[in-house]
Amino acid sequence: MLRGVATFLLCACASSASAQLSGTLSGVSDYRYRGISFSDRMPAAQAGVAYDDPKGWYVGAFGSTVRLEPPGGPSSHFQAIAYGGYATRLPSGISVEAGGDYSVFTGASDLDYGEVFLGAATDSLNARIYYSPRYFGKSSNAVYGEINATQPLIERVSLHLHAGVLRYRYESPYAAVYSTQPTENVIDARIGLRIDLDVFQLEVAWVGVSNHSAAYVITGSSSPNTFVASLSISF
Amino acid sequence: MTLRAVWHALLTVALCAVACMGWAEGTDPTADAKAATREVLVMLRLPPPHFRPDSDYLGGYARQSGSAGRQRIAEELAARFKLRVVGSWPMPALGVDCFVMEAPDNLPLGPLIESMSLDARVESVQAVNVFRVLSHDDPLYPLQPTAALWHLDELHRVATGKNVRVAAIDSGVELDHPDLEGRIVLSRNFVDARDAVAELHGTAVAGIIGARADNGIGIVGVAPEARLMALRACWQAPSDGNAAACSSFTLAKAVQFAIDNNAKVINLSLGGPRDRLLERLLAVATSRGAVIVAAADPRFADGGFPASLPGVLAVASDDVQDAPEAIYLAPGRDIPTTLPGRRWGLVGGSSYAAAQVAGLVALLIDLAPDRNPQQIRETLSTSETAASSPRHRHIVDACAAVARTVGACACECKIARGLSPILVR
Repeated sequence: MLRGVATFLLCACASSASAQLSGTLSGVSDYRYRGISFSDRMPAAQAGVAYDDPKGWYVGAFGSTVRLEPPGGPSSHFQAIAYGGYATRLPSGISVEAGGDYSVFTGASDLDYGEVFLGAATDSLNARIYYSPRYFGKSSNAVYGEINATQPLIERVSLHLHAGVLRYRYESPYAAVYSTQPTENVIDARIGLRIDLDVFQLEVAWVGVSNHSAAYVITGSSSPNTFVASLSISF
Repeated sequence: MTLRAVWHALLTVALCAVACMGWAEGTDPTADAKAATREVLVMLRLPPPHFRPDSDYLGGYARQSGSAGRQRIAEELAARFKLRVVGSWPMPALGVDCFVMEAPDNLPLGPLIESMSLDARVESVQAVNVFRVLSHDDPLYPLQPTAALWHLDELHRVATGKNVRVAAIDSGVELDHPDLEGRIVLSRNFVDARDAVAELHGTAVAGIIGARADNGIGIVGVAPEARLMALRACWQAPSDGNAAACSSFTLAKAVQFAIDNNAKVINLSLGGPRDRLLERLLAVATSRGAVIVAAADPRFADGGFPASLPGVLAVASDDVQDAPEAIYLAPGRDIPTTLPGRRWGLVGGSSYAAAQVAGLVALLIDLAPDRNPQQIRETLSTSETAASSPRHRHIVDACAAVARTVGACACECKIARGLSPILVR
């Protein structure tokens, strides 16, 4: 999947002068993925690149260092996400999109998973719902819904709000006994202040999650509510 | 000294001040176009916001992901066409990022625009046009409170424009004017970095639309409880207090802001050459339910731009002779209003006629929030044939418009109710 995205990016850039390629390089104090720390509460380095086709198609890739070291399990130190989809603006000003993404973990390929998503966005608000048939490589499915809001406060400073709910149906040894499998709901939230300094962006955010040790992925450490900081450069 | 005497004294002083100013009608817009700046507006496509793991929590606003990429493309274009990038502004209403580029003096803009439009990276490109506010050139009309013609007192018993968002896109407004204090819910300067700039035309227009009522001083705005947005997109000429100019770029930024902030009425008391970027933005604003009120320039048969755009409510002063049928006529002489320096004075011209209609539209929306711009225009449409002219004249009759909206008598109802039985008998 990643190789395919890279090939597409190269071909697309060569073929369409009106397309746009952009990216970011970031350093984060703690890489939180849907509320859960994937960096063992340590700093992480990240990079992302996206290609936007004039007709609304987009593809991209994202990579981050991780520290997933479950006791007795395979460790991973890098996560890569390939994604693509189609987005369009409706006459009302609302944008809608549909797409998919696939996440891989080096050294722990049993965590790899794909998902599809639908979303809608205005200029200050967006919402998406994701579905994964094999969330983090398990045989159970998961649905994640999120809402993100952006509110400019003063020149160059904006407030960012995020709330997400993951509904995860996990494997149970008692599945044969009970007619339905148990489920787990994980709620995560994030409140951040972002400062835009031309190509640099600085963000400080509070991250909270309802289950500090989520059952769907064993990271080797818990994820208490905390403040995180990030510094990004856009290109 | 009674309040009435104070008021007359204030107006007399203001009148003298006005007389000294030597008000002038806006200069010829076509001449302005010829003297336009050396700048062009280059629109780059702004992709719709979408999923990006590296900006997952950052919402979808245009300044976020991808803006650096567009900046890079703009710099490449500037280098290719020997231009200089001097600014940019995202306009998600059109799905574009608008870059202002300055051309050297020896580079003719026409061929440059033609060449740039062929570049696949460019969504569209145009020259920066210059607009002028449209005010009257004869300041010394007799004192004549215009609000009385529309029976504002009675209209305000049924509607005050409460909570209707009205964007006055004009020159700067004196925010702490005693008759405007607390009336401006949002103020932005799209011309320069200054916080608050008090200028004549903008302050006068804001007062006409929404000056505070029942505060014992000054005037009553047509929509005294509307939520006024003072959007400075024009700047006052240093030599002439009543003259102000605006550019395509400053106006476009203000219109985008008005759309973003859900303005239901957008007042444009200005005119100039046809402008593609503004035309597109105003079409989006109309499609999202905003009523655009624009001052019609009587020197142009179609009212000039933007008054001549489809869907725009074009308004001229009712003393304009032989106005085209598409233009609505409203009182445009001797309108008392707020002026910078905590003053009041009389103004006249299509600019101020338009401002009054913008206030009236706010009243109609207050009464019937679900009506679309087309229905609002139809409500205002009162046709009459003047004895002196075979053509229909669209004189705005505020009382009739309100009555049509509420389905009942709105003005002088006591008399009408008193007469009615006699007529029946």
